[in-house]
Amino acid sequence: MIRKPPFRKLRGYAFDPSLSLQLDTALINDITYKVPWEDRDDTDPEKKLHPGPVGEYVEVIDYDPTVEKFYAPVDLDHPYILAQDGLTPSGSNPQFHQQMVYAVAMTTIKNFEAGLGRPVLWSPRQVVKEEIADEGKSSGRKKKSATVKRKIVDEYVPTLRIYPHAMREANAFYSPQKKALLFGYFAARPADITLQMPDNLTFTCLSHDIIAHETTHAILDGLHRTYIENSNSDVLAFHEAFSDIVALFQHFTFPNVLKSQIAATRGDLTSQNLLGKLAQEFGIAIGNYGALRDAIGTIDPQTKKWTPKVPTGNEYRTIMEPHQRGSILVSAIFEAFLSIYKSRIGDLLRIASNGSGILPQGELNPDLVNRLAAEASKTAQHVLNMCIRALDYCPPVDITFGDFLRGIITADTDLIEDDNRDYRLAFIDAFRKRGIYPTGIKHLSVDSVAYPALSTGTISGPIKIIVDFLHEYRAEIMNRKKRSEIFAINKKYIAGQYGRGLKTIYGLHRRLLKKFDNSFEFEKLTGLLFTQGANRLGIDATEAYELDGKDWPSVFVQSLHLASRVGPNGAQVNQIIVTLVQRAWITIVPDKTGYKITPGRKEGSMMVSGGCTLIFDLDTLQLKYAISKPLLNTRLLDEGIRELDESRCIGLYKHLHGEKYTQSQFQAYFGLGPGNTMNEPFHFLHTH
Amino acid sequence: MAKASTTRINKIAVRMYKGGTGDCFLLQFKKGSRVSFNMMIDCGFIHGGKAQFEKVAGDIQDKTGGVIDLLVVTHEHADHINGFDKAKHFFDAFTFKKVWFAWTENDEDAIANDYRKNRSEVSKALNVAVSRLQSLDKGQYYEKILKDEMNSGLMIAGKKKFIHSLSSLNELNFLKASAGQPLPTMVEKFKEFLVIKPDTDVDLLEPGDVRSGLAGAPGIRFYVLGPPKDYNLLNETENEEDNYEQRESPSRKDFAFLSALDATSVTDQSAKLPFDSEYELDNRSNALRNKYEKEGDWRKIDYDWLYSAGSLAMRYERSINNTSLALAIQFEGSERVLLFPADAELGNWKSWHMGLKWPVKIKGDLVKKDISYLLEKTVFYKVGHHLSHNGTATHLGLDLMTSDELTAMATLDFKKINDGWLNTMPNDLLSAELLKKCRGKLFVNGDHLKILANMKTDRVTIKKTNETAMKKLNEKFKNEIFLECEIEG
Repeated sequence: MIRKPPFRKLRGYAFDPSLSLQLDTALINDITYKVPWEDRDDTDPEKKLHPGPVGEYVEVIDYDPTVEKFYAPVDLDHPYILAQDGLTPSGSNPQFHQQMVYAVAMTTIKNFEAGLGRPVLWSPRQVVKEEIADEGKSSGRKKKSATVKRKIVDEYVPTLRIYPHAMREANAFYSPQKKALLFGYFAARPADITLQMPDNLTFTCLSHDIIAHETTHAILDGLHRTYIENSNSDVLAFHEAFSDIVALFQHFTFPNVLKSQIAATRGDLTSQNLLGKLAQEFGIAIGNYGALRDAIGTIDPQTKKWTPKVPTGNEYRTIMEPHQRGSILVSAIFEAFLSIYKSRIGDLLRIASNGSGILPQGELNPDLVNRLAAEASKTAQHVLNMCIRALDYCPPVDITFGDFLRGIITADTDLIEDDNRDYRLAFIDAFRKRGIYPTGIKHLSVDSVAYPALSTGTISGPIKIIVDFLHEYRAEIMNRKKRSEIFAINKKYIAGQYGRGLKTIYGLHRRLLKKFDNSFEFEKLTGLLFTQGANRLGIDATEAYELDGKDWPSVFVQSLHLASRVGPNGAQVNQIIVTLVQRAWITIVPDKTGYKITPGRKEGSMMVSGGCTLIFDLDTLQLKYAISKPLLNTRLLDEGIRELDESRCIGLYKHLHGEKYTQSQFQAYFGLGPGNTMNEPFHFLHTH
Repeated sequence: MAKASTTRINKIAVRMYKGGTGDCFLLQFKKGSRVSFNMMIDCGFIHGGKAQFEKVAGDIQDKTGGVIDLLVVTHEHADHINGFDKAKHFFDAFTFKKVWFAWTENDEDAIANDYRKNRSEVSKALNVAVSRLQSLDKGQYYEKILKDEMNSGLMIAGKKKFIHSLSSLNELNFLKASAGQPLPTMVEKFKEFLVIKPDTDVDLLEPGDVRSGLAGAPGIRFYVLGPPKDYNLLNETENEEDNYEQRESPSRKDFAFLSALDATSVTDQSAKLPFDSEYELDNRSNALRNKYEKEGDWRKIDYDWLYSAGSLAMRYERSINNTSLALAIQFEGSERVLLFPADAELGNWKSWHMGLKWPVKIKGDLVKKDISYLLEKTVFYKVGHHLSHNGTATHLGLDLMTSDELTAMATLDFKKINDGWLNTMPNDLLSAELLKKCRGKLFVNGDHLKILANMKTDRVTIKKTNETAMKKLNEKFKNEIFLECEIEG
């Protein structure tokens, strides 16, 4: 019996085709990606691999609309292709392009899942369905005649679609509308013709960094749908930064690349090296002197020399364009990585230098290079995992870099009790150097940056009931590996299950509204309204259930998932994470004394979002954290008054108003205004 | 002194016409109170209608008797020349003695021809892309394809807004090529408009040129500042300190995109294909093709690539702004300067500083002077490109205009404007600086109160006295179809 292989080996570029044309990098640039084996004969039809490649997670459709041509899909199971670890890297063979996007997208997804601890799901497609309401299920009430109701339904999207040749433009983007990645190609226009052949066709789908970046946009959208809403200067920048972070740290998973760079920099990764650079070919092709972005340095446009970037502390206050602002976060994370790496290799350097710490001249001993590379790779994996885990500890709306830092520290504190290498401090320090501070903490320390564990006092009763319900959810979701099932179970536990012949399950949504009706305490924790009186605050009323009376606020349970993680010393964390989102419509007019806020949906009104991430600990049966962007003023809740949080409303107004100055001419000219992110936000962002 | 000045021009009355966002100026050069030379600069308004232009032409007829000593046509955008088309029969009765264009309109200039050939390709590509997108919109394509989406209303509105903005941007491109031909020069076009007649003296000006001693205009010197004879400068459109669009690289050619729209002169069809035909999927049924065609229209990408025309159109518009014929007009005696940069963008402004010198007459002697001198002497400034952020250079322009007698005129009218410009004009930072420099002596050809309201953002401060001064100046012409000021020589 021959066993199924765990991996499929596929050749590709570690960076992009341009590095294969340079003598010093050609050797390390051709690598073999090891992606999970997807089988063409899998008994589960959802997991079969078809030519395209079309698999469980992605479907590559090579249609070029600019010339209305389909290119023949690559069959990765063709014996010749299998025999040589995939097609040979080549710019002129579109089938290799298909193989490349597949290999990098799958690698990115798998790396992400390793950090996340659960399968990646794409963000659902939200459609409006008309359905006949009030038939059959009303109990105790008299039957009404059937009425047609418009209902928003989350449709499961099994695969991310990838179009490797979608347009002729120096651009590539993730389309939240199409759940697709669109890659462009274009004729290079280098600033210096010795850097690249002018008019050389440049394919964005051949760049590891661009593919990983765009794939991460899609993964992040699947985790936090609301992060494409431009509600403060950090949100879109965060999307960009996170995508860059994943692409960057993926460089450290290529052993030969890593070793060559360790050898070239003599272990000092703060000096110029390939690992910290993103999209080199693309950068040069659009007229830069170097990579599109570089986490640790820049090319001086005058001298054309690489110089390290030194943070001034003003970046966070002054730089607003999303990519550049995102770079601040990327460089902070990268610096944290470098500090940890440095402290981890201190002993190795002392050993290698007989205690002096100063390495002898000449090339490093290959054994030392291997050890240093192992440390770098391990550190990179740790740092990336810390970033990915933090996503579960972020508020579902309106994220800021400071929130992300708190997420990183809290997630890490939960999992690893003894931070004996000061990882957390390295993060806080790197953020501080760039002027990024979380709001809502009184002083800066590891303890205060981590969210405090809650004590739920008077509402611990109802919370216990919710936790019991979540236990049922856990039991059902635990060993499911099939993504479509996970999606269906999540949906069932969120929205409930009703209908003839089915066991009735009251969903989390309904339970929250019922259990916490008129609970100031729960409203204070979440910052969201759970009591009648939605209209007065501009919150849409829900028609979901026959609750007593009208005017119940609508709340979206945006996600529900189980996080089971095991820390390095065997400590286990069993948590259920629920994100809630609530919207209010308001009109703001500046007046003499400040701003006048009028709740209610009307022409020109804007939508302000509140949200809360609830983290339930299944072992202690408690609600451990409520990470909130309040919609309600939590101070007034203490006095028994329910009003919108003015400062968040004004903050949003000021941001959207200020975007007038910071958006690009292209956005100003062609866009529907900064508040609207319904129209391919990433296309707009990337267009120049 | 008084005696000498009567033989020379000692006053220029600058009249700016109302009718929409767009330029139409009449300059009357006077000796004392007697007009001895009539000069016109451009005639065009966005969405300008025939009736409007006839009113304007009528006023010019009244003031000049229909004899224009000098017409300056700055560049080819509709908001500078469409009046000559719309009121063609009116202008036909005029006599234009001299017409000046920039060197870019010279069909015997190699650089100009090369540049025009490229522009012809871009122009064609834009026309094709725009008409394809418009027909999608007309055919309710977006309504159909997005009907099920939760936010379909906003999504459709977004697509429509994009197509609308792109169309109106493309409407600026007044010159159209006929099949298989490059774009016409404006000299050809103005013959068609019946502005240039057999006895009209046509002059194509280059940077560094000087014209003086024109009949009827003694004591007046005209200096040509731009457009630069340099491809890269013509394509340079960004403000020097603005780094948001630093990735906007100069496009010598965008072959990949242009060829897909069959807009290049390359006739070999295979040249536009990125791959050999052996890789193409033949027409037989195929699982992947079916997947694309049958599994959800909402995921298709048939037309998304046409949106690339957006950034192309923007770059194109701005590079044409850079072909603006930029002029400085100087009184010999007082050395005072009137600056008319048309819609010049950064590359044009920058080129004035790149070694150019003009022979200036100072106390009877010719002295070579550079642009800093001319800007320092500037007492009248026609604001570049409707108060947009990139129409006036800061370090290379406004900062160097130091005269405390500065008067400025800007053409901006929210009633008739390119939609997308509503978000970008007036630029508040520029407006505030300008109002400070000219102490409120800023004329605008649209509703000045609305424009003023848009200048006052929360990041700038405008002095009350300057605001009052501007209101007072503009108020005076409330019931006229023009605004006017006199610049003393």
